Amino acid sequence: MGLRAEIEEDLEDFLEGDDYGQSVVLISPDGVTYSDLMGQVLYDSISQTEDGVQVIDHNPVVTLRRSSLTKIPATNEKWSVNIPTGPRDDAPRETLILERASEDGGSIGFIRLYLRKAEQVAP
Amino acid sequence: MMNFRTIKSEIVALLGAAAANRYRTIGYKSDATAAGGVVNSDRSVQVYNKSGDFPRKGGSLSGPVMHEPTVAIELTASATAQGDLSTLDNPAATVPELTAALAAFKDATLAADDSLDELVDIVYQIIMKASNLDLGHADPISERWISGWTKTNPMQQGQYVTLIASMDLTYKIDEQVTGDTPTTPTPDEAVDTVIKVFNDEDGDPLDGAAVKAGG
Repeated sequence: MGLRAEIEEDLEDFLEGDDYGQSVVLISPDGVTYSDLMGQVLYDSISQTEDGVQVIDHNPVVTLRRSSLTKIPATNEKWSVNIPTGPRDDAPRETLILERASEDGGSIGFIRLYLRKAEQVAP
Repeated sequence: MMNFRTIKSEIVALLGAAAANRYRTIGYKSDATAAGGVVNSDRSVQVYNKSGDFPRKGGSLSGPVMHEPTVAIELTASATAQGDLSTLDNPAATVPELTAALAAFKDATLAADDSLDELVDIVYQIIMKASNLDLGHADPISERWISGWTKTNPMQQGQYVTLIASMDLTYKIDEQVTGDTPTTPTPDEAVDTVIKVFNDEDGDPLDGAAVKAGG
């Protein structure tokens, strides 16, 4: 087995195992719900704008193992992503929107989703 | 204190009084922004002195000097994606309902862009309103104009999209040159302005000058 294939197998522990994995629920643009997924959920962020001003905010990022997904989110697709808001299993959950391009770690088999906060507006 | 410092505070007060919970006014350029702190009606308007021109022929030897300060008005807005979250969170929602809810979500970038355009509209109308010709200053301001405004690219940091627009407001005002530590004359005080010269350039006493020491 090649080194990259070994790394891809290790993602099961790194991303989906008990140490780092948390429950993630996806809804695809065609309305299909994927509720049995585990992935790594991170939130922290501080960034610098082009004119040097610091912009500070939570930056929810979910990393999933591609081989665990039936359908891979594509650029320009809008997905719903429900994640826990803290590291504990009993943390409240929040639904965010995937509308940015995802980071495709295809070489070793992961995909990183950058999520956007969603505001309820009456339909 | 020079007028441009007073007038900046007066512009901050003018914009603050007209805010009506549509934005927050800050009288300096802050070094950090929390994207979540400028969402919706918490949009921020930062006002600070950016530069000033003193035209060469803008003043007399001892009188007032013409000053053309430029005040930067920096507008910041953030937005979230907007749509029907309740449907996405409803376990009983059908596939067509979920599909429709996702498709109808408004992009955060579009929401931030709309929000910032509205803020530019509001601030421009306040500053350029005829009754605000003097920018809240007690003395007349001979001229004031907004030379233009620019918008940054959408910043995709964190869970919000943030956009910043910057306006340049320039005006003309007379500044008094009083010195670093101004002297306030006492009313009715006599000031001796006669220059007393006793010796010529070789050190010899001039005719009519006071008697030399020891003479």
